[in-house]
Amino acid sequence: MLKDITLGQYFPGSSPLHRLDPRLKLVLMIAFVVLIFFAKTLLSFAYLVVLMAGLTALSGIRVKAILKGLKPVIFIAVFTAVINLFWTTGEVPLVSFWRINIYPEGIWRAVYLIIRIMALVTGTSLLLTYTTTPMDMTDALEALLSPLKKIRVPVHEFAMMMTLALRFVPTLIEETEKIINAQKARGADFESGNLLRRAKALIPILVPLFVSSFSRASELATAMECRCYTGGEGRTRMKQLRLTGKDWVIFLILLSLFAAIVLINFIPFPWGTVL
Amino acid sequence: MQKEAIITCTDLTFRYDTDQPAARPAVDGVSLTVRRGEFLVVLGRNGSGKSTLAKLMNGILLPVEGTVLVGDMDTADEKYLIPIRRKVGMVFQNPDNQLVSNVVEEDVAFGPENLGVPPAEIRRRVDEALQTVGMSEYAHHAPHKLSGGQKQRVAIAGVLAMKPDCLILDEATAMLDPRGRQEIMETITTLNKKHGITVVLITHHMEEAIAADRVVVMEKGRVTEEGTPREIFSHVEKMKRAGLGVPQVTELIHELSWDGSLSGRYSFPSGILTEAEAAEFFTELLEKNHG
Ligand SMILES: Nc1ncnc2c1ncn2[C@@H]1O[C@H](COP(=O)(O)OP(=O)(O)O)[C@@H](O)[C@H]1O
Ligand SMILES: [Mg+2]
Repeated sequence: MLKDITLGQYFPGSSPLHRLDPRLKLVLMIAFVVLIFFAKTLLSFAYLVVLMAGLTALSGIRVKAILKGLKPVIFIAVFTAVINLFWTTGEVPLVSFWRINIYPEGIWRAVYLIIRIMALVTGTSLLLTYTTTPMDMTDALEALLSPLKKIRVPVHEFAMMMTLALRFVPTLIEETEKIINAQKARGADFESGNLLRRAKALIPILVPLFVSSFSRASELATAMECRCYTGGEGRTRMKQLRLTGKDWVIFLILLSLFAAIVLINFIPFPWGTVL
Repeated sequence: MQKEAIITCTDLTFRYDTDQPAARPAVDGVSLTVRRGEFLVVLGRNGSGKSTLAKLMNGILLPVEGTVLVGDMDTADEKYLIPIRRKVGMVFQNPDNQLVSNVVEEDVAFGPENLGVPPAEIRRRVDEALQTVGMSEYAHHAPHKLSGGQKQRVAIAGVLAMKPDCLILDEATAMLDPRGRQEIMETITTLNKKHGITVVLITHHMEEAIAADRVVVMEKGRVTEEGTPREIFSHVEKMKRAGLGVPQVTELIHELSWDGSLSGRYSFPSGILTEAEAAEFFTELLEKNHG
């Protein structure tokens, strides 16, 4: 189950998305996250689904891998969808029993939310983590935030912290799995009992994980010092970021495709609720 | 003629807890010289101060007493810190805790990038370093999908890209399976013999010490023995008292020589290190007595 977490995972490849300048990708991602919230009609949500499929195809990453990455958010998506299903009121209830009324508006809202959450996760992963190496991401972040250096914001340090955090996601997942197996072998039970009992069962996992993270961090710091790391000053990069005409073309195409979400709202459509 | 010294430790003492001068120091009055091009193995049981000594050698830790010179640069002098760490590279036990990137080649580039090497030159060094450790085809892979031995080879490449004179491996094979261990041993032997890189190998696998030019044994923060592998391992009982062992073949011959019924009839040499040597000895013995 933990193996399903693909957060921060990079899928090597050479698709147009992989090759797009990471700074532009970062800007695209921010634009995408904002524009997603402008989707209001069934048609624009349908367009979002198409957009995700298109991005997936463009990235060349297998659909199976992308669906796997969605697994951890399914619970959150379904949970919020169900709440909206019961809490949304409309004009004519579709079904009503006891004191619960379910309106068509609620159903649409639930569907919209699921699409929105899924698109949010897929879009950000595809635009950034899946197709961008952590180092590129750090560079992009550092480049975009570099004006803040003038007001003494530790931009490089912040970016480096992010890279390292991402680098350690798979390592910590692996370790968590090892600890769980070790505890299971000693008869620990993580699958039964009520929520409180299950939460309590997590303590023997989290404590060793926490402790080992500290020794990892200290070892890593030593290893980085041994490799002459002294912070951002005087550091060069093997891969220089260079914007080409091709980058701008892809960027503008994708940006217009994202912006179309807003325009599609204006197309009249008989079905679906308007959010 | 003796080769020039790369690392010179003189009366080196270090304690982690400086508030307790009465406690035994982690490194206690060590004087040791590492010479250019040599393959030095440091043996010693857990807690004998091997890692502390290693960290003193590239200025991660600074001496409480005594000095460490790398070439003629004193590790206590802050202005030499970066040139010293560039010259003396270090690989640690756990590969997962020393790789900084999710992509092999980016990790290898980390050292030269910190040194401010121009991009094109970094590219060249990274390709060369990966080639040297035989990991070129994994340049774009994620380290967490590699085997332990492969991860350690990437870590070694990361050090090589800094163009070091000396490579210190602190139990770099301890977490590996036999195959990974062999990969690493082959890699560092090549580095030492073909590329002339000085190697300081810290280990407690006695078999890894056989190939060394010189072996140093540490006990309670002190260097207690020093010599060629043959000299060191000929004192089987002494090694055992130090909480160490000797290579299995050496131990076998030693046990045979202590068997009263055999030692009366045959003479067993001390300091046999490899299976090949043992085989040769037994063949000779058989030929002499039965042939
Ligand atoms: N970070 C530390 N803080 C305090 N004591 C330490 C630390 N690291 C090692 N020591 C102590 O220093 C001594 C030597 O340790 P170390 O150099 O790690 O030995 P080795 O590498 O041979 O196992 C041990 O007694 C150990 O407990
Ligand atoms: Mg140690």
